[in-house]
Amino acid sequence: MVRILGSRLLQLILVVIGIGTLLFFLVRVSGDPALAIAGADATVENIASIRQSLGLDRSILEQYISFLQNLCTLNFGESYTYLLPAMPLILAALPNTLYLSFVAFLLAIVIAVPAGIYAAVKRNSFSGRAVMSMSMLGQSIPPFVIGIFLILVFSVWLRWLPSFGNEAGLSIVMPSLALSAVLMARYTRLIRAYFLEELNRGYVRTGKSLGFTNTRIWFKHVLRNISVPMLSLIGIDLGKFVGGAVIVEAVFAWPGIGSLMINAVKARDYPLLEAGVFAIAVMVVLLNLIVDLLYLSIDPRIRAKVN
Amino acid sequence: MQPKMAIGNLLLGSKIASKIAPNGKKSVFLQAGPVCLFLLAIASFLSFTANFWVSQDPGNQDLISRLLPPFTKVDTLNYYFGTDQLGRDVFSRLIHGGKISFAVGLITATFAMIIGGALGLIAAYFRGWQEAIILRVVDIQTAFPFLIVAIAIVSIVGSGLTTIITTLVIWLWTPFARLAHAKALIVKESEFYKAAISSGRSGFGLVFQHIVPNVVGSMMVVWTFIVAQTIIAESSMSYLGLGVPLSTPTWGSMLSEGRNYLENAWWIAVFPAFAIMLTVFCVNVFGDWLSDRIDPQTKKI
Repeated sequence: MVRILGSRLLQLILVVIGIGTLLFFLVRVSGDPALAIAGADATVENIASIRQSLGLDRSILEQYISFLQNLCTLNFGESYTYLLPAMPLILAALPNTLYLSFVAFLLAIVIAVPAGIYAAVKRNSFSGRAVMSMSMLGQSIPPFVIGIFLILVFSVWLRWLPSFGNEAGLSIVMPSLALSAVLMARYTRLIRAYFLEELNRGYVRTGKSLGFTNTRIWFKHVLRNISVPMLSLIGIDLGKFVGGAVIVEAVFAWPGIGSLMINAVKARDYPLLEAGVFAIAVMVVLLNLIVDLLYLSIDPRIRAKVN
Repeated sequence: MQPKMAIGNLLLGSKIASKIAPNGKKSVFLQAGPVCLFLLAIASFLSFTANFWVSQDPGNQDLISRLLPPFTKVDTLNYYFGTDQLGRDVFSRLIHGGKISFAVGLITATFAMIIGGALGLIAAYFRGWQEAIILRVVDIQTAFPFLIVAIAIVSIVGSGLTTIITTLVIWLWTPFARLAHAKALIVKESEFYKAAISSGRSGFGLVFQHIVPNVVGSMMVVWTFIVAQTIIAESSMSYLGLGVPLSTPTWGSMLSEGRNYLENAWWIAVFPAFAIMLTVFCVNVFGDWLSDRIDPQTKKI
């Protein structure tokens, strides 16, 4: 338990310092942020005063040390565009991102589990293979392309759903669908594969010979067994999932971290960008920690090994 | 614990793949592999030779004939896929835009395979600290949403074809390293490898003669899936305005321009959307077919 927490904590520190350092040096190497903020018609004095207020007139080593100090206190400085501290801005957008990700993830699981089981059980029928074909297609459509098709159908043609923002309760429908489609397709395929593997196992035969119903065997025993490898895949997918969320937010102008960061990129608002990358790094590591803990609660064998 | 888990997953995957085959009938898509390869070859050939056969300039603006629907004929000009908000020919932009997608996909996946493969082999050959460092980096990078870092890098360094390819290679070498490492470890356990060592072979000769040939097949399979991923990543970045400069048409940037005109000009976004979808689909189907042929044991990791 302590070891898992410790290893994740170490990973968090490495990721944050690594990415923070990378961004820090890239920003400094690529040109003067003061010029970008000051705009085209700034005077030399203007630029100098901006440089001073940002601490850009100090040596690069001094800047780096104070950058690391600020990293520890979560102080990324003021956003150039919003003129407010960067971290609170990111934190204010965080609930929207979490809401979108959570709904999308739930949607993927709720649909993929029965679809995968169906495709496994009906593997030789037309409908079973149709499910697989659908998921093959679904895996090939990137989230922002699905987003475009959804907008076209549900906003432009049918006029059922709003095409951007998070004003109405129904706003969540299209972004979460677009974000979850790839996962849904991927998990359907994987659940089918794991399921078929498990059906050959002895405990399934034993269950059948004891007269258990199929439903009981599938949902109570097989599902529990495949949840361990599924969890490890979910852990691996988390990163990609968050990356997808950023793009989906951009497509639907969803007011989350992703939209904020894309705007920060366009405005060269480095404090906001750094705070966003930092927040996402922490989020991904924490989610991985939750996945680790879920392992422990699901599989007594792993629990025994850890203790 | 982490590196072992990675190998564990890989082996888990192979066990499953070997058992599916006798159970389920093969998907129709598995037989469509060669057809998809053929279509991809034609599509990329048409894109790369666009300069010679597409009559309209993809950057040519004509505000009088803006937002024309598909199959409009103006004077002698045929707008098969309509025109966009600046009166540019969507068909011509679509064909020219394919160049970026195909080039970035092929170049990135190839470089990523070479670099990732080499690092994976180094890790497996030396074990020790090399392995620890390389696998640690692979784990961290796999867990982290590198698209975010890629976006940050491109926004800071500035966009351009080289930046995109470099960034994507830095992102996508990890699956190759993981695979090469795992496969090489299996080879190292084999009798022929031990025989080679006891007959005095070592270093490059050993690696290239005995490990590489046993790794290449599965690497090719993963290569195809990475081509698909790269095409998605490139178009995502172009969609966000972080791809090649806007003067060069790409499917991603066409899609993002079309996003604002969905209400009255669906064709600007829909054609590139289909282009991305069909290309990625074909690459994936071909990859599945290939993996069934060369390497049924390593399904997608």
